[in-house]
Amino acid sequence: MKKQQPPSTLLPGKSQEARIAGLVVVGLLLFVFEAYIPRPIPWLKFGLANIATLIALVWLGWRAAILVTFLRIVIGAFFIGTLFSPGFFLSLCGGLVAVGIMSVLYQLRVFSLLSISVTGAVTHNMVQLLVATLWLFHNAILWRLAPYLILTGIITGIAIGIFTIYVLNKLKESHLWEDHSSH
Amino acid sequence: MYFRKGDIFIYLFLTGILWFSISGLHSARNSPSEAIVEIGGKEHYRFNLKKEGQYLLQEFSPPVEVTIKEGEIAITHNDCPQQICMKMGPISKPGQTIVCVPKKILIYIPTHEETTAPINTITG
Repeated sequence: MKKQQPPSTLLPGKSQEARIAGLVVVGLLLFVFEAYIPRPIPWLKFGLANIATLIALVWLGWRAAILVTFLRIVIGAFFIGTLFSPGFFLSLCGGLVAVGIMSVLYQLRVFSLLSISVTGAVTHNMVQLLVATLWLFHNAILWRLAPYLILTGIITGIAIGIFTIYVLNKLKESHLWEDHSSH
Repeated sequence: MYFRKGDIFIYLFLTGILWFSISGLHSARNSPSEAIVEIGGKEHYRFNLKKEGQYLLQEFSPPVEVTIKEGEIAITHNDCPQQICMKMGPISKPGQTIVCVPKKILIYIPTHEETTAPINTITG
C-alpha cells in the first residue's frame, strides 16, 4: 500500500520547506488528475487536493496549510489554463476561506478531522456560490443550487476526511513524522 | 480523529443549513414557458421554449450556441475550458439553471413567482 503515502516518496529533505513543497506537489497532482477525469455529475468535484491541505494542517500547522492551498490553487490554475479566469477567483476565495475555517476549528481542539474536512468542503462550496452570486451573476436565483452544494460538500467532505485520516495514520508510522510538528 | 464531542455542533449546524436551504426551494407548479438568458447579471434574452431552434449569443466570439428542442434548452456550443455548462445537459423545468462561470452566462427557467416578481433579482 506504499502508493497511498505520496509524501514519503516526494520529500527529499526534512526541512519544513521541503515538506510544504512536497504537499504542494501532491495537491497539484490530485488537482490536475481530478480536472481531467470524467465526472458523474459535471459540476461536482471531489476536492481531492484538500487531502494535501488537511495533511499540511495536521503535520505542519495552519500556516503551512494556507501556503499549500494558495500555491496549489495558483500553480494548478496555471497548469489547466484557468489562471485569472472567474473560476480561478472562485476557487481561490473558496479555498482560502475553507482553509482558514479549518485552521480555526483545528486549533480549537474539540473537533475531529472528519468533521473539519466536512466543514471545509461545505465552506468551499458555499463561498464559491456566494462570490459567484455577488460578483459574477448578480442573481439570487443561483441559491437554488445551495442544497445540492451543501449535500455534495457533506458527502465529499466525509470521503476526503476518511481517506486523509488513513493517510495520516500511515504517515505517523513513517520516519517522516517527527515531533517538530507541534501536535 | 473520526469523532470528538464538538462534532455534534458541526453536524447539527450543517443539517440546519441543509434543511434551511431545501425549505427555501418553493416547488414550482407553473408549466415552463420561457427561459431567461443573463450575461453578467443582465438579462439579454428570453426564449420561448416552444419555439425550437438554435440561437447564437453574439456577445461572445466565437458565439455561444443555445439550442431549444422539445421544450428543453441547452448550451450546445461553447469554447470554455471545462465545458461544464454543456455537460450539465438540457433543462426543461421551472427552477432549473445552467451556469457557465467563465463567461458569466446564467440560463434559467423562472418559476411563476420569479417571472412576475423582479425582487428576486439583485441588481449589481
